[in-house]
Amino acid sequence: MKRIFAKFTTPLQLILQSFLILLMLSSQVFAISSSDYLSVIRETTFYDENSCSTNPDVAVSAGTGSPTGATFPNLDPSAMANAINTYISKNYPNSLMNGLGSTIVASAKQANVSPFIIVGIGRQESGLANPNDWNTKNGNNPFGRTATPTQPHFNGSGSASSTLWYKWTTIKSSVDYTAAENTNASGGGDEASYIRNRFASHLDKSDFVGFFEGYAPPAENDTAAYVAGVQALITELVNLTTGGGSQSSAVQTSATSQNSSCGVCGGDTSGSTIVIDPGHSGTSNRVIDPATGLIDFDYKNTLEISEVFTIAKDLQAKLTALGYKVVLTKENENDTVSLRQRADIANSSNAALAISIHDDHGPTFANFQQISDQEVGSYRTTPAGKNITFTNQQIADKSKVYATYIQQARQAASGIQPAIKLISFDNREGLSPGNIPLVQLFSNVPWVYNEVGANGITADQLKQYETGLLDGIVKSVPLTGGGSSICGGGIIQTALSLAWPEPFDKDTNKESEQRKYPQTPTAAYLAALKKYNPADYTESAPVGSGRWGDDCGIFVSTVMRASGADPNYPQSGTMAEASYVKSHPEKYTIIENITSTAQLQPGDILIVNVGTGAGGNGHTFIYLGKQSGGYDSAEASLGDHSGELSNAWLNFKGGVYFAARLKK
Amino acid sequence: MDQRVKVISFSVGVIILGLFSYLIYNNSIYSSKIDFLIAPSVSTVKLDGKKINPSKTYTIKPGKHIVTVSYDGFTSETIDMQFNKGEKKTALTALVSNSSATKDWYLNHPDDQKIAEGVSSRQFTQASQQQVAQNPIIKLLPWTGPNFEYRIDYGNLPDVKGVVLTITAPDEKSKTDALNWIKGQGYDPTSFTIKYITESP
Repeated sequence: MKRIFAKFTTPLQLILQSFLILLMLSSQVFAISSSDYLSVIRETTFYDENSCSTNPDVAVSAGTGSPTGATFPNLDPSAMANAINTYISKNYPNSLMNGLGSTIVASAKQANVSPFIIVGIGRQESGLANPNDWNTKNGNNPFGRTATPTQPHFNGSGSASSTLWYKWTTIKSSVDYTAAENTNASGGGDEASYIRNRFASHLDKSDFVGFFEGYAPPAENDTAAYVAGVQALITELVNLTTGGGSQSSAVQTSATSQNSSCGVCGGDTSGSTIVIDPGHSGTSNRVIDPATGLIDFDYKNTLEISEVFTIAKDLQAKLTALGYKVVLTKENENDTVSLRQRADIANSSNAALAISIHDDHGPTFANFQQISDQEVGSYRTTPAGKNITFTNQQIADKSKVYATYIQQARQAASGIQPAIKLISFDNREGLSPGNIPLVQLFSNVPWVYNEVGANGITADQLKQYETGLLDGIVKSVPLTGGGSSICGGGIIQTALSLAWPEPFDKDTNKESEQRKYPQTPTAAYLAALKKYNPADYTESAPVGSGRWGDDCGIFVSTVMRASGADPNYPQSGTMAEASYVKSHPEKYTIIENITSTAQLQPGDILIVNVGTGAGGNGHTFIYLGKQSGGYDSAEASLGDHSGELSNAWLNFKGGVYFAARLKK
Repeated sequence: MDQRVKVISFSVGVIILGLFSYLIYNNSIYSSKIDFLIAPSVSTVKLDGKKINPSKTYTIKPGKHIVTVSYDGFTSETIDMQFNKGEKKTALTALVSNSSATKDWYLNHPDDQKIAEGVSSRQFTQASQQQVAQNPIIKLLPWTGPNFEYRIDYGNLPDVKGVVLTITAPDEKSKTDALNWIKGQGYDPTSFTIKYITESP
């Protein structure tokens, strides 16, 4: 500033300069140039968690942390798991951690810790579980974790004989938060939970030095070298995850991979039929299953049979209202249906998911919340001593993923985390011994078995149970809506994956790290726009021009095209779109005069246009049915905001909405 | 420095200080902003009776302001707007043709046609958010009662201001149960316009 004034030597020049400065200071309106806008989008680091996954084992969503930070990063979890597996197999072929990428990522997500830190510690401490490492060999402990006397441990050797080292039963358990030995373990069970438990404040600030001064104290380690080694590995793994690039290129990589691999939509491809199996039969029923020789025995358990049937009917109603096809394994509370028959119902329905609902009035509520998935190797034993074993790995994988979702949802509803574990049927009178319920053993669809218990279980507790089951089912098997799809997601799933999950807060003009302007599209929407609606996308256009997908007709069109529901849907303009759906009765059913959501089905396209001639004056949006956050619609607005979730408003000056429903 | 230069320099300083003070005062009083999204874009737009350029953003005092929009062949509109301190709002309207001469006006003016659509969709957003804020029950709907006894939806009717609830229920008992559910959520059913559909949901 001093140099600027030095250039002006006369009073007049001084006055002019003062004016200029004052004008600059008083200006409050800053225009947003298209280049500013581009930079915002390019610098925005987000990953669309609904996008297609390349690794079915990783059923976790992206985090919010920096890719090179200490908390769970905003990167594709599947890509992270693949990167870890690639790194280990290439650089440490003898590592006992080979192939554990998805387990490490899932546990890291649970603890909100970077999975790369786990790998980094493993490399520093044990050469990534080298079989000859002392801690690895003696305690399946690749992380040099010490233990307290009350924790599972083994003693050090020589001068370190007084040191207690943590002991896991397997290397996998050391990084698997779902392992039974880690459930409710004091101080944190798996490595990720442990470091979260002990070093949360350092992790949340990505304070690597503070964290490692605690984990690998300078008195015993070269801590500085330790930190440098871990951080270098994190950078390497981030590059492996993103294809090798900077933070901004990670976004581009994500969008590109979505385009090239499976489009921009996501979702489960297995359908949306849910089988609900309320426990127990109205009469005692004991038969020998002819196919296996197992004892198929069920009975009437008073209170339980009634309570779980009520929950099942409620779930059926709610899921049906959301758009699911729901099949119950019995029609009436006191029907008698064998366990084989129940499994057959699910099998013949080709259900995406079956759940059994049980409760128990014995143990305390806090001590008895349990979920069982189908694990390969679980079995039941016939009276003749023959083991009938569950062997379907593909179903086991899905069942495990869904069990985890249901576990999370039940925990969110009740505040108590149910354990995922096998059920023992040993020494139970009249039952074949073993560790898997017969419905799950006989099933060839993913089946999650649920139990909850309490002395005098309350209506509130049962309601929490029901809420958790509902949310868990919806999370496990997202609705796909009508129409076919390029990669499995239908209209609803695609709309959800392209839209922001909530409206931009215009009252406060609240900006977020991910969405600086209301017109900012999600990365997935931007990618879809470029691929499916390029004529209505202009990178150089100014913000608010509607050329960034911030337009109702363009958003609906992009969803219809990206989902594969209708590749010929007009690219924009409510007038053109209204005309199109009405002129294609072979594709669309038109429902006129929509004034209530009671007339709608999820996936319906709502259109109103009151323009004369070809004059467009209207709006269009997609009805999704009730979604997370209470929203039920997805829409964009010309020049105002990008695709986002909202609630329907069915009034329009001078016109009434009609719905276009894609024929199946 | 002679006496004249000193006087001039002092005067300039006073002027600059005065201007600076005025701008600060002005900014504190005129703390709200209004911009416009108007179709046809060539309409005559007045803010509190004074003709303005609708392509600009205006800094105004908080409080009530009136925007009038008119154009030959279209029905004029008046928009009442209330501004809080520091608030920015957009005056939105797309005029509707009222003569055969302008029937296809938007057809022949595609840029204005886009503006008109933008107005419509922004009105949707504003109205939707306002409706949910006034009736948070919307976030719970549709709600289906136990055993498909009833279903509660929401919507709007052209001649009714505000949200309209729809209760689909086959009999009086189910309707009563639905109303009781609404009460159970802390709402007075009589405060809503309710449309009944007598059938199973």
